[in-house]
Amino acid sequence: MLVLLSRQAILSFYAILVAVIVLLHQALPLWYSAILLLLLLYRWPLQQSKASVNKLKRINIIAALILLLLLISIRQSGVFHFMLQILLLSAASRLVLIRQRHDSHQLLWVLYFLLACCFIFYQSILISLVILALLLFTLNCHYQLYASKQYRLQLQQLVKAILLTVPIWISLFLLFPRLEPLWRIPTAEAAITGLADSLDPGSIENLVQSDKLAFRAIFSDSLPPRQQLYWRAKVYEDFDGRSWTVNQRFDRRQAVNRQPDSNNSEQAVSYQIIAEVSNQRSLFALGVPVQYANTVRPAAAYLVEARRPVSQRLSYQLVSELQAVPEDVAMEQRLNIRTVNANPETRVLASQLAANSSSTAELIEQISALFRQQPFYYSLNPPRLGENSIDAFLFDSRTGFCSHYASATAVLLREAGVPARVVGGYQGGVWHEEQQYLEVRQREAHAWVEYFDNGGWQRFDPTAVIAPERVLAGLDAVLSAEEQDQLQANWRRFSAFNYLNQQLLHLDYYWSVWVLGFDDSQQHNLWQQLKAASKWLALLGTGLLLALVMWWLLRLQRQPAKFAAPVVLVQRYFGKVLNNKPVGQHLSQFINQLKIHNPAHCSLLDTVDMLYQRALFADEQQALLQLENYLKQHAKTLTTLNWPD
Amino acid sequence: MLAQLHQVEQSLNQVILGKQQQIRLALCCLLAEGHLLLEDLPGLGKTTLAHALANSLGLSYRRVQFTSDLLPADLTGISIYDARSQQFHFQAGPVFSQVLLADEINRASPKTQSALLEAMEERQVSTDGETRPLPSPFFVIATQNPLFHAGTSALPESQLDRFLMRLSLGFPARAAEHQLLVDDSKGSRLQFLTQQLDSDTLKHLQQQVSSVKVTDAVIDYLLSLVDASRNRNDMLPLSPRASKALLRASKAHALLAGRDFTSADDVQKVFPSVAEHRLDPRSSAASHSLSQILLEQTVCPL
Repeated sequence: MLVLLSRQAILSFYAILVAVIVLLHQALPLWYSAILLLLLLYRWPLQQSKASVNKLKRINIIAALILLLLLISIRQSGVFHFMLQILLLSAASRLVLIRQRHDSHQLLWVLYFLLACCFIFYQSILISLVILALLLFTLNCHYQLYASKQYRLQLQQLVKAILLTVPIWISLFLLFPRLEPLWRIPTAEAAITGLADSLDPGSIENLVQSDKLAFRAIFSDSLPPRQQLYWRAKVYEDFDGRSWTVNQRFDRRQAVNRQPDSNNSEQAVSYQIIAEVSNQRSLFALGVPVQYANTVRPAAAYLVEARRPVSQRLSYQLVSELQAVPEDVAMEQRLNIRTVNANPETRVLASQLAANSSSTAELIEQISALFRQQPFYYSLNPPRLGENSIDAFLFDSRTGFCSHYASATAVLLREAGVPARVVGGYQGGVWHEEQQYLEVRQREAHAWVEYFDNGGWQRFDPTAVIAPERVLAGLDAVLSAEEQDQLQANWRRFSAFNYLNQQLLHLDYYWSVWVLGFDDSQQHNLWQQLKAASKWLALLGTGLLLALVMWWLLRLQRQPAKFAAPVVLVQRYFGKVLNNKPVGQHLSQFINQLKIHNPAHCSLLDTVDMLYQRALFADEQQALLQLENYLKQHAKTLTTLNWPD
Repeated sequence: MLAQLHQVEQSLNQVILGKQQQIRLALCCLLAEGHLLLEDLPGLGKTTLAHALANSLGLSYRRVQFTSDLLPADLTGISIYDARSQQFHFQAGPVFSQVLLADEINRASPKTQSALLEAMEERQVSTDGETRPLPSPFFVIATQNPLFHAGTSALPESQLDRFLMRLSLGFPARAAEHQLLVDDSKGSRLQFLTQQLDSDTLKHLQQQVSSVKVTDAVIDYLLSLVDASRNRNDMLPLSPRASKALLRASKAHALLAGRDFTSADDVQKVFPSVAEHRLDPRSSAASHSLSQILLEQTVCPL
């Protein structure tokens, strides 16, 4: 049957599709979004015209042209984004032509799929709620196409549907995050976030401007002092005169699970980390991790890495000792003393410093003194450095961010003959006292130096010399007001917004802890708590049960018998054979059919029919009694009535 | 009296061959004091049936052939100036009869069609500021060609709703048509009509219809059928007028079947003819698709 779509329905489809385009903007080049929106606008002039055949042809041609453009740009966008673009194209061109209810089916299913695809790009609670709202809106539109116009009935149906599906929703919501992902999007398509595998002067400044969450940490005991909160993520050992990169040895899997040499339990810290999506393997750990959860594994240089790139939130438990990192492989020292033929002035300075100091500790002290005494500045906007970046920094600009200082210090140490490397990671974090967790964002990204002395890699953070507040109080304490404006977190100053956002983040946190990190010990804890409250629970359960029974009884009393007496009689004596009665058929008609299949019992059935009709339709008590007696007499015969399969 | 009715039914069956069911429904409609709409292709005997029905009920009837230039006054009548008495005299139109045979009603313009509205529902006519009651009983038996035929304009929903039933005769069976051709030489088929009711008997039968028993269970079933149509949006909802019509028609059907109580079967038998033209005014009379859907999908607990 031809049912035209209401204007309202079409407008809703428009709204949903535009929202999807906005949500998926990461997968779409700007020109493509613009073309899609133009295509959607195309509908309005068409609404007046009558030539529907031409339109189809025209839209097909336009869609084909757009598809051609997409094919040309497939190299830039990649296959996955290309698929999304095609789906969006099909949805948009469908929507432009849509007229009848019948046309909207494919469109709706594509919209559902596209909305689900949005989750690939967003994981935060707020956006998830937006997507969920859109999904519900789409469902409602879909429902409205077929719904009756009675609001009461609609409400009934909706409530019933929601009640039926809520258990499934909840179980999927709680179960799915604990499962391994069923498939994986090629990592090349997914943007890598966090520290990269190479560290240029300037890369950390960019990272710090992002307000994205990197990970959260929960400590089993008290929070270690802030000066100890150096979260190691990457170790950069190769220097080319300008930027630092990660050595190839980090690509190889560490075969053995190392055990700690000395059990220094006083220094041990036990903590759980919930890492956000980064699409890389590297994870975060303090000091020397000694015990690993099985979701993670050790990497070279006592780092920790995930078994596969983190494409969904990952929770892991670690025990670390806050001490110098031991030597990992024999060649590690040699690897970290390599120098390059660049930065001549730095080499001269390094040899001077080396000549003036008798031990490595003294050398470090001298470097600290250098930074302290000469006019060095800490800034989020250091000037651009030339080819010999270390020279330019140490002798010319003297203004830099943590990566500049770390890089310069490491080069100085190497030139002076001390093995040294740059470590990238995060420093500090925001401690939430009430919720008892540490929140570490990209703005806490940091770089420092490790040098080899006393049989281990000692940490030295030159930034702590220049700007000790950075380590003790966080980034905001060091930056000027202008520089703070540069950070994404600027809007946090609006308190109401900030509060709301923070509450959402806490909610997100609890979900992560309870759903992602629900392990055996927590199960045990929960069980213990339940046991403690068992009395109350039992009371509550009994109360609920009683209320339910009461409600049921009341309902039973209030409702009149659903069927009239003759119907109940017939149902009782005819039994199973009545299951073959189509819902719309009345009993006399069914009995007529039964007669065909049971010619031997024709007269019996006729009498039943006659009495039944008189009892039910003429409301004769006499007939009802007769019917009951008659059915009772022939109860056995009635059970043998057959019905062909 | 019932026997008389059955004889009428039989003689009607002599006029229109092989259409027992439709004839029973048509009688049913008239017993229930409802107007009847016959829709068919030209030449299938709908005018013959209309004549035969009017004849056999023993009522005075007038026939109007509807055309596109028919005016409302042609139906209701007109006030004419009498020069002698120097007064206007109302010249009653054909609507002032017990049965109005409106032939090819959908060839008239909507204006003329709607002139019938008041007559059909209120059984009165208002012209020149004066309201004149129509004779009792008053029936409209209308025939129409299917909508796709040239020169037809659709009856408005409001008027369709006022017809208790819409029936379609359809093509006769081969044997019936054979008989028809054999009898052709003997003259008009209306001569086979041997039985007539008189208007007293008709009045009495109509009273009997209203005293046919209906239990709550049947009314509940009827209401669930009507309700089902209101909870869907692929058909028009049935109005309370429709449910009243359905009940009256069911009762009349029970009476014709010789029973003094209404069964679920009566409701199901009359439902397509009563409901289909209200569910989808654009459908053809031969199709009962929507009402069949309702009948099949609505649970009949009886």
